[in-house]
Amino acid sequence: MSRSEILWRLRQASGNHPKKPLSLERIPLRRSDNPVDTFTRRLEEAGGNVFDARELGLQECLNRVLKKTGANEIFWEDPDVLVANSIPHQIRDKNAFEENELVCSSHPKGISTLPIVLNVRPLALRHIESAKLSAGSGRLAIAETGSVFFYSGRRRMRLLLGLVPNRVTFLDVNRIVGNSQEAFSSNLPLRKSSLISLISGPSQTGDIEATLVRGVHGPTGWHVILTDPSNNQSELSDSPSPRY
Amino acid sequence: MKVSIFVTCLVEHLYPEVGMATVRILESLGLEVDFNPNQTCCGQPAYNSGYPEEAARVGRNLLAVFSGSDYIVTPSGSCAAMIKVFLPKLLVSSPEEAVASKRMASRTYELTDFLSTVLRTDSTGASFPHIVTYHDSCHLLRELGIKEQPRRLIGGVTDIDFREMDHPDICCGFGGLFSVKFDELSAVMGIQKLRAIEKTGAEYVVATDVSCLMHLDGLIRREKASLKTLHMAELLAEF
Amino acid sequence: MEKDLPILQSRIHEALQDRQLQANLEKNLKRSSRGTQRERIIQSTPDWERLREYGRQVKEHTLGRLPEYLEELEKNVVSLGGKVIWAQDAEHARNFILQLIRDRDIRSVVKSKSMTTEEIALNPALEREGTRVVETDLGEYIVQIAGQKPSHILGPSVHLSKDQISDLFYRKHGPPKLSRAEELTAQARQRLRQEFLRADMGITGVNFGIADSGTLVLIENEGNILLTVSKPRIHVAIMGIEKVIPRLEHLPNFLKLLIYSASGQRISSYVHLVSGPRRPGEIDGPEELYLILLDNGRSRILSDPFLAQTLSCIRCGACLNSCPVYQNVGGHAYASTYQGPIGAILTPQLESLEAAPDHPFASSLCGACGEVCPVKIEIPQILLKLREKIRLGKDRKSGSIQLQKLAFQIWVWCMQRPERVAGVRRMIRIGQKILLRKGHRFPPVPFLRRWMRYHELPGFPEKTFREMYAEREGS
Repeated sequence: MSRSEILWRLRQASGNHPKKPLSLERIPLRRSDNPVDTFTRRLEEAGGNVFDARELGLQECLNRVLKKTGANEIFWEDPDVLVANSIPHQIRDKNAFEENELVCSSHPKGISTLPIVLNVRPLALRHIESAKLSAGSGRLAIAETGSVFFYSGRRRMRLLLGLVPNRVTFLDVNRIVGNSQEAFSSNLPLRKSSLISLISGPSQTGDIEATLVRGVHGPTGWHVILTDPSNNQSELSDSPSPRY
Repeated sequence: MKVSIFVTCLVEHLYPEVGMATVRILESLGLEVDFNPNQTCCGQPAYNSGYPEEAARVGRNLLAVFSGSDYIVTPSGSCAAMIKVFLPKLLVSSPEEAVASKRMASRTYELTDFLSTVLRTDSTGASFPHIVTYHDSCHLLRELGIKEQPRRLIGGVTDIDFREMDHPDICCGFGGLFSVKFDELSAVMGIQKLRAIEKTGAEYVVATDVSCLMHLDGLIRREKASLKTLHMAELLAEF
Repeated sequence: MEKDLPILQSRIHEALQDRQLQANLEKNLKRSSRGTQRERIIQSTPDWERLREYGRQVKEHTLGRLPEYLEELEKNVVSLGGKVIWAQDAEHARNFILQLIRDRDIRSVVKSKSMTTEEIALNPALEREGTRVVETDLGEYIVQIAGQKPSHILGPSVHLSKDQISDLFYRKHGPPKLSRAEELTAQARQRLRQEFLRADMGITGVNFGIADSGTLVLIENEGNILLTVSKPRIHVAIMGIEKVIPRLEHLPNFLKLLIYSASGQRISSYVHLVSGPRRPGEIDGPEELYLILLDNGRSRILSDPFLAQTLSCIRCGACLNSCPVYQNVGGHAYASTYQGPIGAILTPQLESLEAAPDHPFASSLCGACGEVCPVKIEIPQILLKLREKIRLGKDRKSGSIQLQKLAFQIWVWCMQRPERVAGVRRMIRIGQKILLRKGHRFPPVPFLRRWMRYHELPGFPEKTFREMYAEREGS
């Protein structure tokens, strides 16, 4: 059987090697003074867009994203996105909320008022294929590289992330760590999520005459809205407690 | 200060004036120069062709030649690298030999490194009113890490117009056996270097290794171009 | 005369004479900003040399304990619901995949860029089986529809110009004829979308396999890997056994080493951590994950403690980008899966010395590759070692090698004593005078003739250095 054959060969082969312990030098990490600034700068350098809801307000940020993307609908990967980022929302028909349905909100003229009204749509490929903008939550982010983490999950769909040409990620600024060492030493839910993706900007390629082209297979428009739910009190009052 | 010179086989047979220039420079700086006639070769040609034992047999002779030397100076980056980096790995047939080869390595210097780092001089009093560019020989640059020393010495030459070419550290294409086994490619690489030199408008290209210069010179003559090759020792001996 | 050249030399000759290829390499490699981007980010990383040493050490340690780390990786992948297959050679790996395709009724496959799948010649085998195989990385897609092999481990289509790609897309996709890179990319994007959605199986490589968590790390910029592991119900990941690293905490530094060296980016657009197939309840993702651990000669390389560092390679491509040989001839001249400096040392070891006897000699030993390697593989030293092994190997009785050996024996004998050198020199002078009288300028010695194809020879100096020095002393 291949397995024992290979392992036998490898044991013979590595037996020749002097055993070296792993005593690795700690390479000092640079601490950025302002992680939010660094995050914003790095992501914008990579072709992403960052909007700060702490300054502009949630409604304004959402409107800018809608305008930039030309979308009049938002497909939310998980209603929890709105909860976690304290975005006021309303579910039209609580009982209709089946597990495997697409959650969306309609904004034909941009967002005039909050709360955002959520609808459901059956989980069909044609809806995802025609969607222009999807929204998710950044569970963790890295300032040094301008990256946000996506964790696959019960409702968090890879296909929604990958197929829809624009993505807006709501990122709680308190979830931004300085560098990748910190991020990878924190407890990433590797056992819970079969796919954890670190995303640092729009999809891109240089395969044609080394010319940088943005927008290949993954999202072309990569937007992040910075939030601080711990400080965000005023707009919460009207939201029903989202239980479904 | 007494200095032993290792002229190297290429210089000895094909470019003896480079050896004489090296002696002149060292003597002009007040050093006593010693040439031990028992020297032949460091073994590099065999080493680079996959004959490390043969290289060791030849390089070993240098241990006796230079056993009494405090400083060994050579006008060749690749030969200095052979003595400093590779012979200590090859000459280990006994603990004594290993010690001797390490000692020889630590006392050996390529010429510009010796002048700049040991003698701490950036000038030999040379004067050369021409446009000159410099080619980084691969072993000098990458095995010995010598990059600034030659440039400082060039800067110390009066009336010189020194211009850097684009990417001076790209290989000239000689590579010993490579220039014969892959002659077309070797020539292409050399010609690309000539084009880069031409862009600077230089009249002379200077390097620390005659192997590179020999290769470029042969190509220049075939093209009947006016560019001239010059070894660092010849440049610095222009006084 | 070129017909008599060994295969590598003749392919190099073809490459050098190919004007279109030369123009493409000039634009896509030599003048591309990738090299300067790499330099820039490394210069702004003061600890780069320490990072390289870190990388070298982790790899060296891991290779010394490779069986243990692979077993740990296997255990953790299985605990996450994945399956692990150990493939001792290309045929085993191919056969497993073909069997899986038959068992699971797989009609179409999407692939992301994977050099291991090139190494095992997977695509032709799948196509013979009647399976639809679609490459989704843009560069791989281009060479696939062109019917060519990739010419660079990271940028498979670097040997082609935009105009050639435009013609290709027009021929294969039909009108309209597109000329801009953005348009061509958009067309590929549009066509490939359907492939991601209809494929039954996705096949990827693996950049790093993390032993302590059973996580497979996949790095990309285009998003094709993301889509490859979204809809298809089976994910097959083929990993060379040397790609394992011990712990997740090692990953951040390896990401820097790989990505800075490959493209000079701070990070790629996507870094995916795949931990098993989809969890129960997860809304999408593959239902099954197969990790194929590929040996195919690697265990043999491991057995030499010096040469084993060849297996440290993290496939960044920096050595290709810095190599003047590669930049001048491109990847196809090597006629092997792996090109450039890493190809020159890997191919003779992975296959056999006799399969690629000229690869280790196709180098001027300039050392640029060793300088840029993020894990400090001593490529020039390995080239020298392989030169020695070739000369002592199966072909050692061949005429040319015997002759060369004799030449070096004579050379050694000569170099032992300066008097012998002087004697040989006298003979050369005499021989030269005789030939001059007969009208020849130089002896028809083979290597001299080769030299003279491109070089003019200057005169042989009258006096040696020691003669001049002695005269000076005398006077």
